[in-house]
Amino acid sequence: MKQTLLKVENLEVKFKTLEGMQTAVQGVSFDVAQGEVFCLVGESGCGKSLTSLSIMGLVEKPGIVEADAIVLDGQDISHLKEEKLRELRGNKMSMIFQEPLTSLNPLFTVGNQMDEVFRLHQKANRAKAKQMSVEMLRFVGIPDPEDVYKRYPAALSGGMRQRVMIAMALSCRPKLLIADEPTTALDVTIQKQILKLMKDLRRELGTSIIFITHDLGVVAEMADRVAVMYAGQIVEQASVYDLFQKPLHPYTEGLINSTIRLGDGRRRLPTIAGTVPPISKMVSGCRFHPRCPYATPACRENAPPVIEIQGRMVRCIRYAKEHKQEGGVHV
Amino acid sequence: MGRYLLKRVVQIIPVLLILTLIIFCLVYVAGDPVALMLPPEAGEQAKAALREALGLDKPFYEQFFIYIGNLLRGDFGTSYQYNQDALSLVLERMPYSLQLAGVSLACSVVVGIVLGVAAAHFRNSPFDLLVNGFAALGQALPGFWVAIMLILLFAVKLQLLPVSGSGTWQNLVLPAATLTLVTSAKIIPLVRSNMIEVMQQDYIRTARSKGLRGSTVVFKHAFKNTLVPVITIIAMQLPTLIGGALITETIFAWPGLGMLIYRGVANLDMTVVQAGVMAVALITIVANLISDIAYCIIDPTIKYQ
Ligand SMILES: Nc1ncnc2c1ncn2[C@@H]1O[C@H](COP(=O)(O)OP(=O)(O)O)[C@@H](O)[C@H]1O
Ligand code: SF4
Ligand SMILES: [Mg+2]
Repeated sequence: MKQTLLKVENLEVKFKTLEGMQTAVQGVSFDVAQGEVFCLVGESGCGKSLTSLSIMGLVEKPGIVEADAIVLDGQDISHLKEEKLRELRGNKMSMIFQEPLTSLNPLFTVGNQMDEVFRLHQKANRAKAKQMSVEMLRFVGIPDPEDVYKRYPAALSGGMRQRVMIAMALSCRPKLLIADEPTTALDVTIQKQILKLMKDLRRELGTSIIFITHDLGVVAEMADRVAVMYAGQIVEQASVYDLFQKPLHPYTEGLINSTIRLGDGRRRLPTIAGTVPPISKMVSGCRFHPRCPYATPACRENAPPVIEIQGRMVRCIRYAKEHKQEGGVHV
Repeated sequence: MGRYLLKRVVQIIPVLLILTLIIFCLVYVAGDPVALMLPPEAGEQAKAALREALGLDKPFYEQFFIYIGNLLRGDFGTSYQYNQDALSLVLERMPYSLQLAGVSLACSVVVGIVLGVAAAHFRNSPFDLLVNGFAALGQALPGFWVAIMLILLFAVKLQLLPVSGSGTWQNLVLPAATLTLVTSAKIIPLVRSNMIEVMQQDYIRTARSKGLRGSTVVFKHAFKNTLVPVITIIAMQLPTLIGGALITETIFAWPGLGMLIYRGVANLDMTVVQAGVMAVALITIVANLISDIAYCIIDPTIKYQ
């Protein structure tokens, strides 16, 4: 068993609104091992970005982040002062985002924005920072790094900019890289290249990656372990093999079924009917019950327990002991 | 960039021509100055003679071409009021206007940016509310009222500053304060809203994710992105401050272009009005050109057609 790099315990993100307190992320706990790719998957709006931003300490007002603990490399960072957190950001942990086109500042050159990291965290002087930046650009497979270094972001393609973002994020050899849908905005060929780059870099640097996506195809390609999120909660956690082999949660099952196509290109099942409830109108009981084909009256009443079976975790009443005794599913 | 700017400079020529035509037309339709220039008892004959001497009996287009020809020779006509060359009058008043406008603009920009950025940073706080209130008041209250209130308070009641006139720095304080109040009120909400918008951009999140300090994020990454619209509004204020500070200059008896134009209009001294308006227009054009150059420097990616 590899060493744990990150441990998130009971994370909660709330927003104070005019209609009262709204909870966007609730009871989220997971571990990421050293060198592991941990995928967070779920439909848009289920709290993936907020979860990752909470780890970075980047949730903006009016968001309120609470957690029992967020332990990174042995240090609980859940209550760190902004000043201390800043020393970790871009250094021990870093992040890349969904929109490569807007994630770089249009008014500064690539070089200027890359240098910042080295000057800040490694106290490099101008010349040294430039040398390291160019080196880093070369490292992520940019063909003419000296030229790209001098360019403004507008002169680069989306795929190129995402490479620059990755280079920037990996500058200080972080222990944890969070990639929030890094390929969603890119076209398929570029997406493949970026995914390959990230896998290569992981192998080379041993960086742990939290990879966020809503695309199960990407999960299958990238992940070691997977957490499936639904409406602000993790509903299932398993190794990528187990998850695809035997999804436990009805939502996971629905996701997989709606992704896998038959040979003739038809979907075996339609996409899961219905939509994710908005955080302002959270449903009672199991948050998935309005869309769940297995829903029972009990599901509407009581929040389902978190159940651990065979090193996996699932949040569904069907796997509760008493339920199984009544003839429920067997694992 | 060089070619773009050259093009902008060349574009000034037709603008100037049209401007000259407009100014000329305005004056042409404004009325017959001859009556004012002669003593009331002068007869029709004397008036006709003067009209002929001034070329006012010629057809419109001919008058216009003569006017342009004169302008090209630097001859803006003679003010009958002051019995002085209009151009030299304008040049005499210009330093006063530039001084008042320069000081007011500098103060407005500093106040506008500091309060705007701070209000954006502490948005929806009591401080933000206060700043917004100040800006709203500054925009709603007429300049002359502000001027009179300042005079009442600082000159009459507290007797700290002179009521009007020019010559010492104390004379500059109240008119500059009036203009600063009115102008910064226009800059503050613009800086604030731009700053709020920019702070929500993805690249700001990137900057924060790198571990940069809050001040670097705000003053390097965010602020530069708000500069283009801010410079636009600043450039728009300059002509208002120079020629349009008419009421303020008049109230404080500040001998700038605004007052010169005001007197010119009041006395139908059209050569002075023409020269004064032309000067303000030229300053506007130069201000626009400077802001264009500034855009080029700030945002190298702006595409110029
Ligand atoms: N600033 C905010 N104020 C209120 N609600 C927010 C805010 N940011 C995010 N949310 C809500 O939190 C939920 C989760 O958002 P997010 O983490 O971005 O989802 P995902 O990344 O999975 O698409 C969404 O329903 C969204 O509406
Ligand atoms: S708890 Fe009930 S509604 Fe929720 S997923 Fe399980 S079976 Fe479906
Ligand atoms: Mg997201």
